Amino acid sequence: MNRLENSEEKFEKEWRDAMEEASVTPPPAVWNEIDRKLAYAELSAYKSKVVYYRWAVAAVILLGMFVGVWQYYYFQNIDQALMGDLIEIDKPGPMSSFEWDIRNEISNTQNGFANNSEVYKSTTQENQGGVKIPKTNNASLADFAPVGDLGDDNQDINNMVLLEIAAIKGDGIAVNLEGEISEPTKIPVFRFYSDDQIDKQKVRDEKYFAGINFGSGGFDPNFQSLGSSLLTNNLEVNPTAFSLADNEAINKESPSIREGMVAGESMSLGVDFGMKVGKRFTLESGIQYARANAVTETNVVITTSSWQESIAATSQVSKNKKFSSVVQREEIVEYEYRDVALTNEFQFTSVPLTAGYQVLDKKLKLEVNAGVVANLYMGNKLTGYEDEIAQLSIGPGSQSPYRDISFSGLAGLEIGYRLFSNFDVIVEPNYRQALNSMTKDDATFLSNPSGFGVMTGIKYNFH
Amino acid sequence: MAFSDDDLIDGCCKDQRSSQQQLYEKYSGQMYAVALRYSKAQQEAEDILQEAFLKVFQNIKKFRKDSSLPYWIKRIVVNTALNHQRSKLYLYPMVDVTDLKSKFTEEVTLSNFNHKELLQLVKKLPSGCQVIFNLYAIEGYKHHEIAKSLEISEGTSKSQYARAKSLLQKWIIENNDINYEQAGEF
Repeated sequence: MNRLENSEEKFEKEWRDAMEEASVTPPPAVWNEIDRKLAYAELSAYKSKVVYYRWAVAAVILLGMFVGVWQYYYFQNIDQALMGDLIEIDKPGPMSSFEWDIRNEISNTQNGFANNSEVYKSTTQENQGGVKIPKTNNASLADFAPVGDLGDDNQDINNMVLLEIAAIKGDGIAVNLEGEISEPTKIPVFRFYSDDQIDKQKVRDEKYFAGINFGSGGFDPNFQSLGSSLLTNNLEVNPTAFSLADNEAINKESPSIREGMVAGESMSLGVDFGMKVGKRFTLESGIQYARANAVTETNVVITTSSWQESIAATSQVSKNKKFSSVVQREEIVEYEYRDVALTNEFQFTSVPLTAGYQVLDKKLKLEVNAGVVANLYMGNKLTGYEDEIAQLSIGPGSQSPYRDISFSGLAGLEIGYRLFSNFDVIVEPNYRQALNSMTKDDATFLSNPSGFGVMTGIKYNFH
Repeated sequence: MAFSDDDLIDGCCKDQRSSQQQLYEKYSGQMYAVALRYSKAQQEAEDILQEAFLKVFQNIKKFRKDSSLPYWIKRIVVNTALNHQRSKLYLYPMVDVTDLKSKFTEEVTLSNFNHKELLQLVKKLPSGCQVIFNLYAIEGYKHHEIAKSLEISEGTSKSQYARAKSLLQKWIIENNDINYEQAGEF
C-alpha cells in the first residue's frame, strides 16, 4: 500500500515538476486584443466622466431655470400685492393728472374715486383720507376718465403732499394726502403703464449694452487619428531610412503604437457688446482670448543626433519642417517605446455672434442664447511631463496641421441680475461644439472640440 | 531594461500601458501554458489568457502582495479557466466511473517527455477529467475542495481523477514504447 501511495505521489510530483517551468509563447494577437480592450475601457471610463459632467451641468441649468421661474412669480406676486396693476412707484411725480369732480363724492368721513359713472368708496375707517383705487385687470388711464395733462395747473396740487402709497388689505392701494382739498380740484395720480408700454419704454431706454466676461469650462478635443501607424502615416517617416526591422518594438504592424488626446480645461476673457432688436430679442458679439488645455499621450519617443531633448512622436508635428528635416537627414538615433504625456496649451482669439431671447426681463433676467463662434487659431504649445521631452510650439500657418479659422456652435442660458439700475451681473452655463474640425484637410488627425462651460460677467446698459 | 515586479505593479496601478505590456510579456508564456492545460483548443486557451490578463490589470490595485505576483496571476488564470470549463461541465455532467487505478501497476516516468508533449496528453483527456487532473495533480487541490468548487461530489472528483490518471499512464506507456522502438532502430 505504501508502495502504491508513494507511486501515486511520485506520479503527481513528476507532473507538477514538469509543468512548473512550462512556458509557451502566446500568439501576438492575444496582446493586441488586450491592448485594444484596455484602450476601449479607458475611453469608456472617460466617456462616463463626460456623461457625469454633462448631467451636472444640466442639473445646474435646470436649477437656474427653476430659480428663475420661482423668482418671476415671486416678484410678480409682490407687484400685484403692491399695485394691483403696474404702477411706477419709482416715479411718484404727477406724470399726468385727472380732473375729478369730487364735490359730491368726498366728504369728511368718506373718500371716493370716480370711474366713469361708478363711484368706488372706501368703507373702512382706516382708509379715511385715502383714495382707493380698485384693482382691475387692466387698470389704465382710460378707466379713470382723464381730462387732460396737469399742464400749468400744478399749483393746485402744490399744497398737497403725498404722504405714502401703500398696499392695503383687499383690492387697491391707499394714497394718503395731506392738505385741504378744495372743490373742484385736481389730485396727483400715478401713471399706469401696461406691460407692453413698459417693454417699449425699456427697448427705447436700453437699446445698447456692453460688458466684460470671464469663462471657464471643459475642453474635449475629440481627437481622432486618421492613420493606422504613427510612424508610417502620421509622422511621415520614411521606413527605409531607419532600419525599423532592427527594433521590433516599433514597426508598422504593431497595433500598440498609438496617440490620444485627453480632455482638459479652458478659460476665456473678453469683452462683449450688443443691442436689443425687439421686445425680447438681442444680438450680441464681442472678442475673447481663449486658452484650452488637453493632454496628448503617445507611446513613441524619438531620440535624434541633432536635438538634445527627445521628441515625443505626435501627429501634430508631422508637417513641421524642422522635424521632417531631421527625419530626412536620418538623424534618428533611437525609437524608444514608452508612454509619454504632453500638455497642449491651445490659444485662440474667438469672435462670437449670438442671438438671444429674453424669457424673463425683470430685475432677474433669463435669456436663451445661441450662435456661432469664429475661432482664430493662435498656436499650441506642447510641453512634456518629463524634462527630457522637447517642448514643441505649433503656430498657425502652412506648417501647422490646424486651420487658421474654425467655427463652433454655442448655446447657453444667461441668468442676469440687475444692480444699480444700469448693471447686470450675469452667469451663463453654456455648451460649445465645433462645427468643423480645427485641423486642415490634409492633416492626419481630426479634432472637433466641445465642452461645457460657465461664463460670468458684468453688462452695462446704456440708457 | 528589466523591471521588478514591484515596479511593474506600480506602473500597472497607474494604468501605464508600457508597464502592462511588460508585465504581460514577463508572465504570458507561463500563464499561456496554464491556460493550455485547461483547454481543448488553442483558441480557447487564448481567450482564457486574454480574459485573465484583463482581470489582472483591472484588479491589480487590489493585489496585497501577501503572495507572489506570478502565483496571484496564476490563480486568476485558473479561475478564469474554470469559469470557461464550468459551462462545459454542466453540458456534459460528470458521473462516477469505475476505479481504474489497479489497471496499470507499473511505474511510469515522464522523463522522456517535454512539457509540450505532456500538454498534448492533458488536452486529450475528456473535459471533466482534464479539469480535475489539473486541479488535483498539478495545482495541488484536495478532492473535497475540487468537489466544492465544481459543485460535484467528492466521489466524482476521485473517480474522474482516477480515470484521468489511468488514461495518462496508458498514453505515456504507449508513447514510451514508441520512443523505445524508435531508439532501437539506431
